[in-house]
Order: sequence, then structure tokens, then C-alpha cells
Amino acid sequence: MGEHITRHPEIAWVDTAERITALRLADLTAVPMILRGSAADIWRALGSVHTVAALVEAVADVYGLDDEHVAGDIAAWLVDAVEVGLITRAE
Amino acid sequence: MSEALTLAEAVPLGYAVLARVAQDAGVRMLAIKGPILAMQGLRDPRQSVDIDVLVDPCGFAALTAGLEAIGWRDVSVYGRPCLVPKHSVNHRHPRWPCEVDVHHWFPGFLADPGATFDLFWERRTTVDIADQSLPALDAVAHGALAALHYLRDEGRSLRSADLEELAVVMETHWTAEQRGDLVALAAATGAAEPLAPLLRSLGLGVPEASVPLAVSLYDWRLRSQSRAPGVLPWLVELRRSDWRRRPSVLWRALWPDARQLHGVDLADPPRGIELRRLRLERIARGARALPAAWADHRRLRGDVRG
Repeated sequence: MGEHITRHPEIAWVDTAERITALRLADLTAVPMILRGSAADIWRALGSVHTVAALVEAVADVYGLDDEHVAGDIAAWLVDAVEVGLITRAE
Repeated sequence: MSEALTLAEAVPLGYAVLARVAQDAGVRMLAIKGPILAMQGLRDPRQSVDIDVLVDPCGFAALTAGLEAIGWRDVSVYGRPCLVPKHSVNHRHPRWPCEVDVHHWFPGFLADPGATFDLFWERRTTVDIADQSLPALDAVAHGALAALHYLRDEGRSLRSADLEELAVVMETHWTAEQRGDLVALAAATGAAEPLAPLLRSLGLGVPEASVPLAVSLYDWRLRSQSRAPGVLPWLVELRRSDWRRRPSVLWRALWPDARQLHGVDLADPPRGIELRRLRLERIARGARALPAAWADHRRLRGDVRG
């Protein structure tokens, strides 16, 4: 849980409150990615936290839940996010 | 099915895309206009509808090729005479709601475009757009560019409110040093005469150009002072053409290709009866504007001969 996670530096993104639109600059032909709801809140939280534990705590706060309630979903989201190039993670 | 981008998303993302295309092509590029004007306090924030960049003229072909390679098509209209040299191309993409305007020169900066770009590049700044740091014109150079954009239609008073707003910013929020820098920049980029209305309104002197002009000051005056910018370029081209070319110029002016008509969908240009109707309407508009265009041409020629 102590690994370092950050938004990928080659993601250009815009937050219009309703959704987050993200574009991988390494592939300018790709369709932009849209994040809504909890995915968008996770992305926003990554602006100020850089460990999985801190991310879980921050997102749980947003929803008024215990950390355990969101940890699993965040872990799954992080796996997908790494795969599509949205975030980087390092030990 | 992918979701459509809104303008609020597309414009900032588009600037980031252009910067990346330029970087990949090894081309120097500066972000201009749009949201950058508001970031630099040069105008109130408002939604931009397109993406504007100024590129090193030497890299212009490489940058536009890079855009084409990722699906942005050149939708510029060619073959229509311009009072100032063609200075930009417009690109569109089927999935994006905005245009990209790639400028290799900006009208009103009448010195050599390459040297002018080098000067802008030396004094560039960076702006954060879409979480990316992009090279951009510094605030003083950008103020000059914005003013020239508004002054381009001075004869029709189209952007006088925008110019006044800009002048107020320069007068009330800029330091004396910045205003002095504006004067020096005008001299160094061949923009002294084009910017003269702004400089005088700020109580600043209009300097002599400190570099040779590569673009005709007379043509700038024609463009900026004309009250009939749709007709005047054709008049000028007719007068400047060898007499053997004049019939073909006149034919193109009166009966243009469908893609030359203003506001048409270039992917699906008009045909048949609709095309004929548009052409006849255009001839009627041109006929109504011809006296003003002729008067402009005579007046502005007289000013130069002065």
C-alpha cells in the first residue's frame, strides 16, 4: 500500500466538474478517455496524494465511507488505469 | 461509441495535442490567443472555439504534416486573393468540435517572419493547459498580437470594443516598463505602423521600424482600412495582374468554385441550383460593395502617395 502512484505525465486532461476527459499524448490518434463518478474522484484525489493508502483514505472521505469499503474498488481501478496509461506506479 | 468532446474540453486538450505534434516533429511552436489571453490578463475569460498556434516558419510544413498524420485535415480555402500574404492554415478533425489554426506569420508583424518568430521564441513563457506546460508568447508580445488581430478590421470597426478593453488593461495593469517593451517590440517586428492606433491611445510614441519590412505596409493598410474586404482583394489582384490574366481573375471573382464560397461545408460543397443561387447572391453582394471597395482603393493609394 506504500507504493508511489501518480498521474502519468503524458496525460493531458480537463476537469469540467461533470466529468474528466483525458488524452494520452503518446497516442494522438486514440479516443479520449472519460472518467465519471468515483473514477473522476479518484483522479482528482491523485492531485494531492501519491500512495495507495492515502488515495484510499482520501476517496473514502469523499464518500463518507470506511477505507475498507473503497479499497478493493480502488485497487481494481488502479490496475486498469496503469494498463491504459493513465497512472504510473512504483515501489 | 466514444463520447463527443465539448468545446470546454477540446480547446485545452487541443493545445496539448499541438504542442506534442510540434515536439515530435522537432518544430518550435508557441501557443497563442484563446485561453492564453485570459491567463495573461489580456481579456476576460470566455469559451474559445478554436486552437491557435504560431510556429517557426521553417517548421510549418513538418507541423502540418504531423497534424494530417493524426487525422486533422487541411480545410483552408485556397485560390482566393488576400490583401496580406496567406499566413495560416485551418485544420479540422471529425471527432473534434473545434478548428486548429496554424500560423506561420501573424499579419501586422511586417518584419521577416522567421526573425520575428526567433524574437518571440527568445522571450517566450510557459502556460499550463490541460495539465501540460506549453511554450507561449509572453504577455507583452501577446498583447501586441491581440491588438493586431483587432486592428486588422479597423476600417469596419469590428473589434473596436476588444481593442479598447485591451488598451485599458495595458494602461491600468501594465507597468511603464511593459509599455516601453511594447514600443520596442513593435519597432523590432515591423509592427510600429500597424500598432500606431493602440500606441497613440496609450500616449506612447510610434517608433521607426528598426528592421526592414518583409511584408508591404501598403497591403496592411489596404487590409486594415478597407470597408469592403470581400471585394477589395479581387480589385487589387485585377489591377496587379498582367492584362492577359485579367479575364481569368475576373471569371474566378464572379463565378468561383463551390469550395471558394464563404461558409460552405467543404466536405459537402453545394451543387446545381443551390450553387448557382449562392453564386448569384455573391455577385449581388459584391456589386453593392464595389463602390466602397473602389473608394477604399483610391483613398488608400492616395494616402501612400501622400
